[in-house]
Amino acid sequence: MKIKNLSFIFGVSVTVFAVSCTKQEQLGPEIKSATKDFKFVQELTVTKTEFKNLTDKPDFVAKFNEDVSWKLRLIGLIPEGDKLVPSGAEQIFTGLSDGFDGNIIDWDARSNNIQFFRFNQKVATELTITGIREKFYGDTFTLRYAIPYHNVMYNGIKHIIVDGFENVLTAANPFGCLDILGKGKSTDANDSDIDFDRVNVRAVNGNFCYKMRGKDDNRNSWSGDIYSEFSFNFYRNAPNINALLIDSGISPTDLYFNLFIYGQGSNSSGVQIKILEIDSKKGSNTEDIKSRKDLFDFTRPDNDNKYDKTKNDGWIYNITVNWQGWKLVSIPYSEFKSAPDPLAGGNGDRKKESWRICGASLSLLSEPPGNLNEVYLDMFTITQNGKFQF
Amino acid sequence: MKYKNKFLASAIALGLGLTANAQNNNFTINGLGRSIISQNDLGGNITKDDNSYQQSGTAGYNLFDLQTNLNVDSNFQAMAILRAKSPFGALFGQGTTFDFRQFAMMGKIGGFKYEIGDIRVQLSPYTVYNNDVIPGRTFENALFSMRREIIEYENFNLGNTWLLQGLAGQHFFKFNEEGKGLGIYAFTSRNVPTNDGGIPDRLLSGGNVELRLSKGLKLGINAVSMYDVSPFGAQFKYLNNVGTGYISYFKETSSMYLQARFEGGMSGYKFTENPNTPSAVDSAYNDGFVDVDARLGLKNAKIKIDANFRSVGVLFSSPSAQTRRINENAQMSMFTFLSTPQIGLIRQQLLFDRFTSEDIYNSQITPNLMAFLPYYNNTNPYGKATPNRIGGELGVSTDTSNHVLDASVKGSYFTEVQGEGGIAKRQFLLVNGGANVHLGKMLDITRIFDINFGARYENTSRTQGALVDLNSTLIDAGLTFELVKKLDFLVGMKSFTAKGNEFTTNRNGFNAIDGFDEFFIDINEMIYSAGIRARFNKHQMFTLNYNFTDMKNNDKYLASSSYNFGQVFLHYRGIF
Repeated sequence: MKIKNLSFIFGVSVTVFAVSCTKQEQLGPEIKSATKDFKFVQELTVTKTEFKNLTDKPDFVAKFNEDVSWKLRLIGLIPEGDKLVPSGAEQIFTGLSDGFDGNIIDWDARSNNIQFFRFNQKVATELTITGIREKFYGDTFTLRYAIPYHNVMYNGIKHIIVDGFENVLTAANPFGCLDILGKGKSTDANDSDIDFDRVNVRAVNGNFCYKMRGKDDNRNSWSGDIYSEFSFNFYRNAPNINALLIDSGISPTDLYFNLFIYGQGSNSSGVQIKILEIDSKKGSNTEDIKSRKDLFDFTRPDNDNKYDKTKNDGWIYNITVNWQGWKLVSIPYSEFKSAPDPLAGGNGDRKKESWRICGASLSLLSEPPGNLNEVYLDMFTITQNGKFQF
Repeated sequence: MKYKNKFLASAIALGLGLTANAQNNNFTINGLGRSIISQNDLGGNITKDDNSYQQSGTAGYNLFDLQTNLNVDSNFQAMAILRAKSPFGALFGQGTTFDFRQFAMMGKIGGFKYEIGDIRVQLSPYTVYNNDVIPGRTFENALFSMRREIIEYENFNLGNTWLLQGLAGQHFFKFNEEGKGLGIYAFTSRNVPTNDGGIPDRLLSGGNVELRLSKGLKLGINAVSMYDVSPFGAQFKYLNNVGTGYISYFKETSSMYLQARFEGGMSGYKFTENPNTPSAVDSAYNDGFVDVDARLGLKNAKIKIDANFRSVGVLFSSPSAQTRRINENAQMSMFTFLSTPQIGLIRQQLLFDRFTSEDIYNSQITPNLMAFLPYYNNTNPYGKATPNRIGGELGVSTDTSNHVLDASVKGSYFTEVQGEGGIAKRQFLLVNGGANVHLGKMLDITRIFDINFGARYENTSRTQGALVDLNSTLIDAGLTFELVKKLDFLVGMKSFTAKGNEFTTNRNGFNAIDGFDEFFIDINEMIYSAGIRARFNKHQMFTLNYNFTDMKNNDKYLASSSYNFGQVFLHYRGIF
């Protein structure tokens, strides 16, 4: 083949390529640097010192003498010693205009990362202008509002808080962690360095998270758990059957268990989530909770009914916590396997039925056995039709 | 202890069993042993007022890779590498791990060659290609290249191949004795396993068909596809196809040779959410590229001249050619934090980390374009297949017949095909070059006496809209001198400066740009290294050296974040 032929093929290919390529005006959103004449007409201001509720929020206002790309960053602060340091929570707004105000920036106290903005938290404001190295700061304000996550819908996904580990019963956290800490803590007496407790460092939301630490001396891979066997609170607040938290007929593939876990980068740490279903009433060997009405009646506050884990189903999922820092883990119920021990949840009807869920436990595992492990947990939630939204 | 016993029993049983059963077979073993110890100390401005986080530490490991090779006959051969690795300081084997590092079977049945297990795959730079995108390797001192070799070995990097798990086969249909024929190669591998739930298996398959019309003229096509094999109820389905055609021409005379290659092709990307439902949503795009390479070799002058022109579309998508072997977001094991973990000031990757930290390398092909740090390589962060580039390169270098001097210089100029964040396009200028001078050979002395120097300058600019002006310079220098027989003294230096502003690109899950972050940088990183190397024989080597890295942040807002670290590094390597 001659060079002339090669040239022909090359020419045809270039032409075909040029014609076939996708053409667009530009890629991504438009951005523009400040010119050397850039000036503030109005410096960054925050109109209120407190953010109390969604109908009375502070406005963020700034005005420039030219159109420019800008980025407003809201930074959550927490005290450390006598200083305020970033908590990790932040929200960013960007635009290309000659300024912004409350009509452009509408903030609902949501963070754009894994750290939540917290109630009573100081929030700093930082403005950057494209092309200018210097950063500009506005007023710091106090957040006296927290986004509700219990029994609310975000993006078509229903959120239910199982435990926020705040140890207080509030509208946003109706279960607190009273059931878990007050009644349901069990640790391995043959292990050492056991520390299972609520701690006020490192939380992703609120002031507290839950610390699990233990050295698996007896090499049984288990150092302890916190549990809420048949937490009637889960249903007691429901005034009627329709208000039961987990919807009837929700598929196990659409029901997610979400847990924020802080890992230490270990290769041996694990957390087991165990979900308990109720099939039978105490002392019964038959599946005598047959409907949501049975469940509703059985869990009325004036009843003193008890849960019998030897007659019911438990479903487990083990998470290997091999990362460092916080991570949100969301597991669909369909991924859970049946618990093997018939005395601890392995003796129900072996049918996975989301509406029967009535309790949960969280365990610290060591795999391989024998190691010292430490994890932190926060915001244990159930979501329907999708993963936790933050 | 149980693991150790199992490992030893397996190794012995494997050896004895194969010896017993393969008396007519060829069973060989080879392998590699390595021991590394490093003592690291962090210092500088950032540590002045705060000692609440790790600022000193010792690290290292011992490892032994035993490679067993069984050659039954030409039809069947097998290879397995067993690895024992223990962290430095482990007592009585605690923390020691035993793994199968690599496993493959291969053979030839008739003219058909096959490989099963861990296979190495490389096609063209636009289809399957593991790019080395870390600057400064060509003209650096052996103290630095030795560190790269460790990282490459540990991360299975060999040339520009990807190590994949799957199977491959090839056959060449010979038409005549002059080399005419048709070659066919195909492979398939699994990139991501299914979870038997909503996550499907993701496979990578491809191949090459090449028609050799004469000794110097080849025509061929490459194809590669990354795709999901959806189980029932899959949440998504991904498909990326790349097809290219090429012509390769070679002509040689007594005084010169000419190589030319043209390659052009298209890619198609499609992502479907909820594929098994009526509400399935597709995201799809196509784009292409052309590439023309030419090399003229002048035998008498012992030089070669290279030229390249290429244009790669903004939406050209080829995961197995664009995946980076370095992960910019990965944390280093050494001094991860420059604060307490609670405050979480994570140390940015330095040039030093990029050729010494095993933890920041990536061996998994990713469907999305990975993040990169523009000041280390902005012109071709994804190799030749970097999307949204049009331009060319021109280079001159010595050829391999020159044993005294190994030198090259290359200039590249590219622009974007379409502007990002506006209609204005970035322009990229890259010049690099250097030399390894073998003074020992030049002076006709028997000892090693080499000096090396190299430089790399890169400028990125955009003069309208969102302005960009980023400059980076890397300078290398070093010396290797054989003090006494097989005992070398080595000294090396790297100086890296970066200054200016640029925008990093945020991409969504479909590779589309959805935002930009501007950054300003003004840093100077100096790396000094000196040490000795004992070469016991061709296969055994011991090195002791000291590295000092000084990272100076000249930005007035970040001046307090300057720091340095010193490292004593001991390395023994034995190959048998």
